[in-house]
This record gives sequence, structure tokens and C-alpha cells, in this order.
Amino acid sequence: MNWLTIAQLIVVYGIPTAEKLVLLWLNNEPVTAERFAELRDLAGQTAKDRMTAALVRAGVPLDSDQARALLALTA
Amino acid sequence: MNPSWKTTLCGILGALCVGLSQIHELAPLWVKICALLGATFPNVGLLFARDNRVTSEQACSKEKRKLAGVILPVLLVCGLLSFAGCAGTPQQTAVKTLGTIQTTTIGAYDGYLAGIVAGTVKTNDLPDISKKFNLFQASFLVALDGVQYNTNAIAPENLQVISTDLLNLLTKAEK
Repeated sequence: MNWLTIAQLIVVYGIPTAEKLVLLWLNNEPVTAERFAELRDLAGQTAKDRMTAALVRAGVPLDSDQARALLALTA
Repeated sequence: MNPSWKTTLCGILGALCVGLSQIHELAPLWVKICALLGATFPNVGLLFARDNRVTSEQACSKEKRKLAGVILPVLLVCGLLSFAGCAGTPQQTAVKTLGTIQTTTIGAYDGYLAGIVAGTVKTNDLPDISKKFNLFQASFLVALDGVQYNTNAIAPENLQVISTDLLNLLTKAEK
């Protein structure tokens, strides 16, 4: 992976996601049960779970009209 | 004639990579990577090119820019998936590939949701995109079982198709 690829990643996905992808690419350690559990936990989240997390990150109260409407759309 | 530096650069890089892929003294992996880049660069260059009959006004149309916005991330993800499997056991390679797909897809979906919550992205496509996201998550779990327990469940290629489909929808929805 060269700097051009990393720069493109940052432009398209932002720094945190690009950083995660670079670390994933560089990691050659044996696969552990914890790694599988981590992937499984993330994959167990639904669209509604991600929306709830997005609302919390943005500081929108979950009992507000906006939050209810958006959560209804992701159900 | 005013040559475009973008198409020229992509053409040169494409030719260089195809040339490198013919050097069999290189490790097989690098031959494959060079062949992949050799095929990709000219196509990227075509995104910046235009026919003689196309005017400057038409060339700068929103549609063409939207198309480039959809295709470039997809090419980037495809390239990443190729690079992700560079070293390690088959299981390590599969886990890296799954991790890359998951990080990219969930990251893109989270970015879309942040736009929705902030009010900068319309909610029209939210129900459809959310259904696709749930389908992706369900398929991911099946693929993960396949990798962890060596079952003959869904092949990772199918997961890549679902992920690419979702990324395309997200890119279009955010325009």
C-alpha cells in the first residue's frame, strides 16, 4: 500500500476509516477467537442499532420527534 | 490538441503496470497486482476523457461527475480487497478480506447516517438502504461462519457483490 492509496482512502472514507483499513491490511497476526467475536459483534448490529448510535453521537435525544421518525424509517 | 495530464498519467501507469506484469521473475503475487492495476488505470483514465463531439459544457455535466463518484470508490475497494489478501494463511486472508469489507461498508453506512441526522442528506432512500444494510449484515454472519468453521456457506464473493451494491446506493444517495 503506497501513500497515494492511503491518500485516496482518506479522501473517500475519512481518516478514521482509512486508518482502520490500513491497520487491517498491515496486520499479519494469527486469527484469534477474539477477532472472530469482534467481527461477529459488529455484524450483529442492525440498521436500527447503527441509527441509534448515530443519533447518540450527534446528541439527538432518542425520545425526540426527529429520532423517532428516523428510527421508524430504518426499521 | 490539448492533452489531459490525467488521461496521460493513467495511460502511462497502465502501460507500465502491464509491462511489469510480463516480467515473470517477479513474485506471482506482484504479477497479479501489476496486471490488475494495468487493467484498472486505463479505465480510470477513461473517466476523465471525453469524445471529440462533446463540448466543454457537456463534459462538466453533473451526471459524469456522479458516475466518477460511484466508480472510483468501488475500484478502490476492489483494489483494497486484492491487497488485503497479500500474506498469511487462507483463514487469515479470508478474515482480512471480511474485515476490510465490514469496515468499508459499515463506515460508509455510518457516514450516510451522520448526513441524515445532520439534515444534509435526504431521507428518501433510507428505508431501502437500511434493508440492504440488514441483508449485508446477515450475509456477513453466514460468511463469517463459513470462514470460522469451514462450512460451505455463502462464498465471500457474494458478500462483496452485496457490499458493492450497498456502497453504490450510498454514494448515489449522498449526491
